[in-house]
Amino acid sequence: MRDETSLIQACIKQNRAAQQKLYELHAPKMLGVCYRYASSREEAEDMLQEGFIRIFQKLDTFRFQGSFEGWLRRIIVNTAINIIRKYQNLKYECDIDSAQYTPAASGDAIASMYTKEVIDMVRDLPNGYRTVLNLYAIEGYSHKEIADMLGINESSSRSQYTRAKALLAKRLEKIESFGITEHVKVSHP
Amino acid sequence: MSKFRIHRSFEEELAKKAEGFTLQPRTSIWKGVDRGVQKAQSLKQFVRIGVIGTFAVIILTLAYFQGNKEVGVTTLEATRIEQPDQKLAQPFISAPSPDIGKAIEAPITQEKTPSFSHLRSIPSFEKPVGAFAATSGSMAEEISNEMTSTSLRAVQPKNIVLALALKESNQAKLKKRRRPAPINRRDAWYIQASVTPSSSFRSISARTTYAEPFKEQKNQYDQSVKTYSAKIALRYFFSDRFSIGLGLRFSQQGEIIGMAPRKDNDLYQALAKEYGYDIYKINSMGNESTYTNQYHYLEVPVTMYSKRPIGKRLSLHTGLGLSLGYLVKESSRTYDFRLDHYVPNQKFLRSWTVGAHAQVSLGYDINTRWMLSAGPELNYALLSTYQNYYTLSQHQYSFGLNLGVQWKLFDGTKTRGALLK
Repeated sequence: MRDETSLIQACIKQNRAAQQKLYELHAPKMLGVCYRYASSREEAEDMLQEGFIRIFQKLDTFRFQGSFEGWLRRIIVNTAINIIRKYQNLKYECDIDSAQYTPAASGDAIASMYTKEVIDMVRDLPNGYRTVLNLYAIEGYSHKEIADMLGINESSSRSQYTRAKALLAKRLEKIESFGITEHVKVSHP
Repeated sequence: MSKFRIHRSFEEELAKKAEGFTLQPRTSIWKGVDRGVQKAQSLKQFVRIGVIGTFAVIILTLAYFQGNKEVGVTTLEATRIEQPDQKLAQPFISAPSPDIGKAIEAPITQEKTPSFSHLRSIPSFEKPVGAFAATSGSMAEEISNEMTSTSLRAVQPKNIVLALALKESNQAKLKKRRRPAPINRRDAWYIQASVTPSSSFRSISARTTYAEPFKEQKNQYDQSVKTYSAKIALRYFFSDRFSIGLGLRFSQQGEIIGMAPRKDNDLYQALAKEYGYDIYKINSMGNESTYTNQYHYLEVPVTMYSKRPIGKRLSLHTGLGLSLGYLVKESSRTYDFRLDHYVPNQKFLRSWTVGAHAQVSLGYDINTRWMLSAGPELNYALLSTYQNYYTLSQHQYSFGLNLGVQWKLFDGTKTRGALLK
């Protein structure tokens, strides 16, 4: 803990070696976060890069209260959201009928899958669904917060989440039927 | 099927899986972060220096004119003393003040010396009077060397001492008073603010022969984009016609790039996915996808202006200048010839640039202090948007309508009117 504090303080003083160390410490996990929001690895790395630049710029506002990783994560997620809002439209281009098919998505099915498979399945969701699912189910934001972040209605956030979950459930069902991880391709804007 | 209808929370399991997921970033990402942080640092310094510099210029300007308020008055008085028929006043021309004129003239015209109480009413005189009274004898001797025998006889010693005191206490100001036409200087400073909605595009040339076809393709598909710039500047008239302006400008440049799909085959797609390329991000919409490249610069423009009055309230202003710009923000894509697909521009872009600008505007004087102006403005980047190692050389330009307002920093008309009375 003390090490981390002194590392942060060195970073605030613009010590480049300390900045690199901090980056190396947290970058793999944060890239994992970005990867869930991005439509490609390249985009995820863009998010990571921009996020860390912002982190080093704002590091002096960190008050050493609460988890540093949580603080990092918030900035990274906000950066990812900004990039998504800027470069992609949050249209939901999948077939509505198929989305309304609602087998209940359960945790057990997910638990039985490899992490990479789960992440790839989330990433294969359309942009809007993916973003809402990430923010609600993984980051733990409320629908109201998500609505504020994305500039949409709270009810839209709820419905997108329900549809995302339904779509995931449908894909899980398909995986079970075929016994393989076959992702349904969805075109990204 | 029942497997999906139970038991553990979907959100919990998903979060658990997501928490455990990590990816090792490429080493080039850290270089990008490091470069970005350094860039942000230098931008901070640039802005800090710019703000401090601007404040310093404004404060010095204000201080200069505040200090010159009394100078304006005394200079006129001094000029009056210099009339040829007032020969006795000659040795004291360099000690001008509304009251020193009276003090010097008094022995001749009224046969009466000014009292100390009268002199104390002039703030700057109080201290020297006391100081020099004690040594009036020696001072009188000094002064006698400077004066003709006639004038020495005519002026009483007490007046000489007082005059000398005034002379020395105002020594610093005297230098300023000898400058030509200081009153006009007050009217010479203006603050300008303007916005320019414009159309931006770029000229492009290939540095290598293999990039020639690409250049042609770009010229075929690319379009101009609507941008704007906003400027605030300090303008100084050093003559009735010519002036110079120094300011700070936020300027947007860019273009809409059109692209046709490249390497649109299964194998390339598979490879692209494998290596993280994303050729469809821009090209997925069809044969002519577009992306709007935008470059935001913070610039320090220096402009020389010429003004030509063309009516009672109208004037024509022509400006020509250079600017030093710093790329503060961009959102753009560039074709990477090595990777054979479009990539974010960051690694190719030049941070600093030098540009030239020209403008012609029609000014309308609303009153003695305010002026509105409007006219065309052209900006052209003298340096390429890209670093020299990039295969293409690209120069941004924009053409727009400059809409401005100009405000005279000091209203000299009031002071001048009061003096003439």
